[in-house]
Amino acid sequence: MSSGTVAVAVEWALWGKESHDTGYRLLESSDGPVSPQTFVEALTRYSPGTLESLPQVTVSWFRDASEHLYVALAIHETAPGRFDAGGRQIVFTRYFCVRYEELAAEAVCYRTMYEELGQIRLGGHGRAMIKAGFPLSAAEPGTGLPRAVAAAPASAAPASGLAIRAAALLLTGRPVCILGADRTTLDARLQFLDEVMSFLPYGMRSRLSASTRVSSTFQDHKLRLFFSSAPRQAEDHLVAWDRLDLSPIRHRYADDYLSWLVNGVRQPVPLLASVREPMGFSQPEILKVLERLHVSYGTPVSVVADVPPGPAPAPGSQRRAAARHKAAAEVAPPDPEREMSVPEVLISCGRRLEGGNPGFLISDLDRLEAYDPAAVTPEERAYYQGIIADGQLFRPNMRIKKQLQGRLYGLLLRIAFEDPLTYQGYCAIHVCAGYPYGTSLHRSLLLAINPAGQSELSVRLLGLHALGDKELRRVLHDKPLPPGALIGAAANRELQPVHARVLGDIVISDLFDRTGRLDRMGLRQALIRHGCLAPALEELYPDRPSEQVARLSSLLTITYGRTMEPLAVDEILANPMVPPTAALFAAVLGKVDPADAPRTERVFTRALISHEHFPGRMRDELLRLLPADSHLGTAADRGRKLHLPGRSAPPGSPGARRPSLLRQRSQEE
Amino acid sequence: MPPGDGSRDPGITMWGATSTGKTTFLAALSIALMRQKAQWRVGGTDQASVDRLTELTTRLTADRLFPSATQGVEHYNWELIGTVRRAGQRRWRWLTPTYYDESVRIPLHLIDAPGEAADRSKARGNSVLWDGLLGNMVDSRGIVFFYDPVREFTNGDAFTHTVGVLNELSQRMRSAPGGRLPHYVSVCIAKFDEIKILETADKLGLLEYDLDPPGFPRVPDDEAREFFAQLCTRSDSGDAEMALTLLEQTFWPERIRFFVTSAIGFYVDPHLRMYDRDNYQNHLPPEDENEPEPRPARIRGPVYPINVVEPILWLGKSMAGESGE
Repeated sequence: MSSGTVAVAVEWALWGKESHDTGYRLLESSDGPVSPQTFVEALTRYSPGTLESLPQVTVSWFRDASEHLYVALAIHETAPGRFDAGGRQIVFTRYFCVRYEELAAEAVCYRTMYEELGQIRLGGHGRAMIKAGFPLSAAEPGTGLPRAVAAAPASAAPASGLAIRAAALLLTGRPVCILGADRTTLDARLQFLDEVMSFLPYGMRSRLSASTRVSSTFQDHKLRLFFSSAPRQAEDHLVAWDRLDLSPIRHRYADDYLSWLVNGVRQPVPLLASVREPMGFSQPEILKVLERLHVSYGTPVSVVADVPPGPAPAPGSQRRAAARHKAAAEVAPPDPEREMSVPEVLISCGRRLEGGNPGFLISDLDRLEAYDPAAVTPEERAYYQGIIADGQLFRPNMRIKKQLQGRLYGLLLRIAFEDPLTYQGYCAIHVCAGYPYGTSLHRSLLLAINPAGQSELSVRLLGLHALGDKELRRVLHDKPLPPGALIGAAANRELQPVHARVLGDIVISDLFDRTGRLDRMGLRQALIRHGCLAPALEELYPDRPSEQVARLSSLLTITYGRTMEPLAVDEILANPMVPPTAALFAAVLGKVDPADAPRTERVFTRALISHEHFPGRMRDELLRLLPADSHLGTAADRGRKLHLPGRSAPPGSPGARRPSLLRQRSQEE
Repeated sequence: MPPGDGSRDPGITMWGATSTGKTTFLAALSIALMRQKAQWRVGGTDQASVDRLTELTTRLTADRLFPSATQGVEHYNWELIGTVRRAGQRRWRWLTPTYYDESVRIPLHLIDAPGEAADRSKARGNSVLWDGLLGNMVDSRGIVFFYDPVREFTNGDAFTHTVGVLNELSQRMRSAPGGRLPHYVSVCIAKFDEIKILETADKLGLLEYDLDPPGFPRVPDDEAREFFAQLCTRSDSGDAEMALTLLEQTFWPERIRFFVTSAIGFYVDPHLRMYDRDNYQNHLPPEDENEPEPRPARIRGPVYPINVVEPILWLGKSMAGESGE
């Protein structure tokens, strides 16, 4: 082992099944002080339940018979071709544990443990304990902290604000469940667990149980911090991965700790990493640690230190590197001797609003105005948005003059969001303001956004709609938009479902209102291009076919009138670009002459077969199996003009067209 | 909310040794209702349960794979949603009553515990699972007990599994009136689709065939107890008979019903759509591990569950009737 590593003794166990087993059991374990029975207890106590998505990692702790504390890391995974007696894939758990004091000596984090221990294969190599080395190079220079403990890159999680809140929530003694992170990687989730723990004393890792994934239907698991796809029926704190909850925790110690992390200490992470004696999450232990950290628990959540107003000092007086300066801005009051950075100004705005000093806000707004938004990078923008959310700078009732409020919103939008505003930016405003996508932003903020002046159509329409239907109708009436642009906006599959539903209804309603002066040819072309919006509607109303049909029926009425001719049916159902949906078929069927219903059905059936990814020969044979129809043939000819695929009718009578595949079967019979 | 403290709604616990098909049975419930074109359907009452219901059903139908082995005690908050015909109030006694359909929801708080949980002797030190299962059984008012005759032929451990759990449960519920446990119990003789089981039923003359296509064989419910008793006598261990006696001594006999079940049913050729007694095996064993990409055990064709709805519906209705709903 090189001198650049921290040497540790690792005890291990392998949990799983042999091919003749039906149930899970301990397959092998090391012959160290930890007994097989202790391994079984620890493995089953901190089981994450039945996992469909693997691999996953669980961290936990236990004491051996001699009361030594261990920190354990379990890797749950499958092995190709390993099945149990019932023929089911076996989920193996490689379980590693290290004495806590060995880890604490170098403040080793979970990710480092995973990276090193994850490479060790278990089974069939004897029962000896493993000597492992955690690289010292993984430590943050100058702090003695592993990189993952010292700081996580901003891209790993939506914001460190989320980790700070999760850390504070853990002090309530109730488990914390992180939802909405199903699509993130195992690495990102494990890194987040490390990040959360970096905002608590390192010693609490001696009693933490956490997992990158827990079965959402496993109600009685013992994990304290975990990711899940849905909440369980327990009093867990729920944390949304993509949204920062800004409401008070309403727990004395947790709120005070949160306030201390955000406002009361200059650099909490190195300080907390230095507190390494083992400690748990019980109330007496938490009180003890709060006292030690000088957290003024028992006081209401308030500003710990305010920033005196005054002119910004000369730029040359900066004493710290920009990156460190930025990281510190979130947790420390700014140094009066240097120029304030954007994050510091934003934090200061929040404090002034919260602390009842709105009069001093003007100086901050002047500072904000002096910054050049063109110099802001996308990463910085995302960072600023996090501070705006944390400080609730988009809140509606500020007890300041409307004009000042409008100026604040305008400057925040200018510095933290793209101009012109993109749809992603519009969604980010919702997140920052704490408004779910399905609700309207408050009026003052909407006016600052000025939706009518936005170039992106979805932002313009959604913003105007949020301002009120009257406003939307006025703008749409004054300057009607081309139907193609409207349909294109409604067909955008990247919109949030709730926005897509609103936008769809705006478009249908607007087209309906201006029946007399409508560019029908443009509308027809747009409908064909976007499959009459049927695929989008199917996604938006998956279990509500009647709602799909109602909207499709309206669109068809606007375009073709009350009844549809066969040519129009072909145009819509036999669309070579987009396959028809069942709801589209139902809507068309409701508009054709009853005598044309069988023909319509055949067009739909043929279109389905044509669009399925059948091999060419099979598709041709299936199409040949369908009854011949002279009218359809004519329509097919028309379809060819529209470049419809697979419409040529084979010659001969239906009997003569029996495909070879079926003929062969009947001969065998 | 720890199990066993009585704070949860009474549920239905799935109880059986490992690999007896408890989770597959639950996965087949929704499919069974759809196959029967029944008035009932199954839904979830919370997001986690809805997700799991969809996941299990999709795995069985689209993926044609069996669910993963359960680890940890899983809770599914499902409900049976359907309509029942009720007689309306008569304005005059001589008038015939009018009937109306009333929509009904029967809550199914299902507890799916891994089979290892029921085997304390083998899983030494595994008190977490054991306590999880027993605590939930105490809270439950319904039990689906799985008896896997194939496992019994090879392992012969049904009695060992049963006696340990029932003794512990009786001890924890000592104050139950009449000295018997108050649960309703559906005893499911599982894996009816397996060759050995079907042949045994055939030899015993207990088979009947559905008149409607696909014409599946069945053991009628009123013969199911007899079938169970006969299967027990064929166990190599010679102890299985005692499992039946023990069940009937521990619970009220009128609260026990027997069902011969199969979660996946028999193979039916999708073109012919008829049961073929020479070609009915729907369970495909796993591929050899020396294959390039070996696949686990799979389901050969569409799933046609047999007697999957009935045990749950009977429990749901019995429990709802007891609580006066």
